[in-house]
Amino acid sequence: MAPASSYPASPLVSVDAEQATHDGGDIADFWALMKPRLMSLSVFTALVGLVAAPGQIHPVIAVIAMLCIAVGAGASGALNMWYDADIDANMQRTAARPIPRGRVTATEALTFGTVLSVLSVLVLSVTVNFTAGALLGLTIAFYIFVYTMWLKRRTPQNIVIGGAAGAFPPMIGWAAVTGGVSLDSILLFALIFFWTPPHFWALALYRCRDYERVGVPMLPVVAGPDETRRQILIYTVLLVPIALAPAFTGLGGATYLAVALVLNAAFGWFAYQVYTHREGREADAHAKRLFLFSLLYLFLHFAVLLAERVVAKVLA
Amino acid sequence: MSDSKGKKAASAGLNVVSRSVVLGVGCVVWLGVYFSGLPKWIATLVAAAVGLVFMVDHNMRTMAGLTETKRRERMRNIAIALALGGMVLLFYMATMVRLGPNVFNRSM
Repeated sequence: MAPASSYPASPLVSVDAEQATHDGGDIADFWALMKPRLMSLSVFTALVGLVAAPGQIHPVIAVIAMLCIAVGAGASGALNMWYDADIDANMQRTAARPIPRGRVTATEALTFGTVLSVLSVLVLSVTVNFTAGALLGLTIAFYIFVYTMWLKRRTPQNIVIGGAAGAFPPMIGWAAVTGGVSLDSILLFALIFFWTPPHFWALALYRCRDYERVGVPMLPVVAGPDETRRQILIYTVLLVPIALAPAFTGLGGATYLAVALVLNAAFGWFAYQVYTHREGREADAHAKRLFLFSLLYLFLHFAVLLAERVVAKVLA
Repeated sequence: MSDSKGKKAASAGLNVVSRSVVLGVGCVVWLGVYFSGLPKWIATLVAAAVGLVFMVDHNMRTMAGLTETKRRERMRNIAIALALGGMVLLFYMATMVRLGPNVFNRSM
């Protein structure tokens, strides 16, 4: 494998040549550029932060805040695709993205992402509050400059540190209501932050060859699958108390505690299965199972918090 | 080829009756809202909705005759126009919520 740092530092692919054969993408291509699935996760966690935060927010302002967070998340997705266009073309999972397929040029993606980033941060700052706007700006900058440009191609700790970018949305939602940051919003941040490594490393375990081919130093590529399995287990142990903590700070109630106990026991079990099954298709199957369960795990934690708050507000 | 495009163009969009109904109903609702006690911005919204229907209809009728590249270009332009319109609406609503309707009553 070529050293990761020697891999060409993106996407100043021959843009002119690209444009010569390019007849413009349609709306669906630009929508795909915004990574809608990632965007929906950001929107959902931000919504939970917004609903769970103490205090009141006008429904119109809440809608604007959610819209800005969605657009900001989509913009960072577009900028990520711009920068990673060269490696996306060589990975099975990402080869069908709009830039590698030639539907959108790298320059169009850069312009699209930049305009939406600036707009989302400005609108959120002006119409909701400056803290929320600053946090959104920090999230986008962190995702692009720290994760995509700096860490992703240089260190196996890329998704550990870079995971912070995906963890900010509930804090932004919280800040949209309160105008600040508190222990509870930091807990929501930490839940996603510590969930990210086992989630992505489970994916990387069975997509290892993809990352190896393009020189992205994911942990299984650099340290090997066994070390990755050990790290997954370590991060799972760190994740459990953080996931249970909201029940003890008052952010979550009894339902949250019950659901979190079940989910964390199951997550621990799946992580242990990944740790113990190291060979052949069975190992891949367990990694895939952990990856899929991790999606449900995060969704249910946030869904229960949301449901508890909505029920409490309806009954109040 | 051009005939089939022409037929497509003629069949796309609303027919004359539907356009008349949209315009008629829109006018009646607009007048009703404007001369009733309802807030005037609802009348603005009604007018905007009717305008939007006609814009979409016009677009559907002309779109059928375009090449694929032109069609994509048109769709991108419409998306940008709608996004800009949405932003105007968004700032209007945010201003109303933040400052209240009295923003219109301040002396110049």
